[in-house]
Amino acid sequence: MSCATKLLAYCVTLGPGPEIPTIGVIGAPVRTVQFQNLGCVYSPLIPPQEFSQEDALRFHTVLKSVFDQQAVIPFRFPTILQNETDLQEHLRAKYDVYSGDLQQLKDAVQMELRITAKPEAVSGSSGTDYLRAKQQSSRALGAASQQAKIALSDLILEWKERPTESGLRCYALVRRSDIARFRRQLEDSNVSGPAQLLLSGPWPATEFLHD
Amino acid sequence: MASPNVIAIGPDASDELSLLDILDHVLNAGVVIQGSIVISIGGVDLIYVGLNVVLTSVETALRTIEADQPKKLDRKK
Amino acid sequence: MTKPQNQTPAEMEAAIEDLKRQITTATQAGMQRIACDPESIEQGLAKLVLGLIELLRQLLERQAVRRLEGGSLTDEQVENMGQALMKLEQKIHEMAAQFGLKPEDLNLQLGPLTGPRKS
Repeated sequence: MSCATKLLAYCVTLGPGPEIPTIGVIGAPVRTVQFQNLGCVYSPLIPPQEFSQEDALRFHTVLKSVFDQQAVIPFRFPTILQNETDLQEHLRAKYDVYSGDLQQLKDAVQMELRITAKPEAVSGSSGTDYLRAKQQSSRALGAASQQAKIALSDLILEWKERPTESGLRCYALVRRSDIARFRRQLEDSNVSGPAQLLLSGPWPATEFLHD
Repeated sequence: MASPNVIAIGPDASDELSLLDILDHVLNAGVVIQGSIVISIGGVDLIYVGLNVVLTSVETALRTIEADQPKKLDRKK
Repeated sequence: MTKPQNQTPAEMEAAIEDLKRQITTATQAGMQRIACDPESIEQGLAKLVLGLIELLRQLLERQAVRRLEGGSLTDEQVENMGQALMKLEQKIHEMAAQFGLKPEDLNLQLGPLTGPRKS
């Protein structure tokens, strides 16, 4: 096991380096590196045996402070590279994809809706009743996501849905300047039916990347 | 008048639900670099990080297979 | 017909590679920490396996609902399909209970090992 310093990558940005916080994960400094017009925020550090939850949250804080200023392509936590050379090589290899996406998503953020269904007690019924109940639940979720989508249609640039074990997860690509309106319009929409609708965001538009 | 069952959480708040949401994003969203060094994360159900990827890919595979069948009318948006 | 066939196996491969990486890491982490707590490893593995089965069950359920919506099934087919899925769901709950797991423990939610899980 080497004790050499490695590199923790936070995110890729477009243009000159953004303002970055001074202190990153495990107290490491935060730096930027440029490859043509792509910037990458990272921390040189000696990786611990194991990262903690606190480290993950610190990662988020650094990421957020950059994302508050501009669009980013975040790296999953933790993404550790050997050195700056490897990072540069990665940026070079992915240059077209990253710069294309960042240009396209320049003023956009991702808002998320988690729609969860009421859990049903289904044992002891007939197979048909069981399946009908599942169908009913599925329809209710779909109806709710449709309602939300319609209520927000003037603000949605793109929309994606993904089923989860307890319902639906929806991703809306929205203009950064429309975030407050998005929240208000959703709250005013009175979407009915499912047990709960959880609104979360803004997040970097990771669902709408092309790589 | 707010809808009674809309709850807003987000990357700012510090309640437990938001913390879970933050961890979910930090650990599941974002680019993966093949060949990057693997460091484990303590205190988190790391196993499910990979399973989310499998869920996505199997689901995508199913949708792709279904898109191939001409009789299928149902479409996910 | 060409594009989906090219994408899907590659996607699956990448997903499986990622999953293998995660399992290796989790196993190593487990080994480091749990010399004196073999039950946790057993439960951890049970969660993984049952979690995967639960994932497949959800996919099957969605397939079944889609076929139901399609309207081309006989009453008997609907009943049989429903029975099979219902038994599968019950069986998974039973197996989970044997490892001290509740149904919600099988959900693919990411979160702290300690503390309540929320959807």
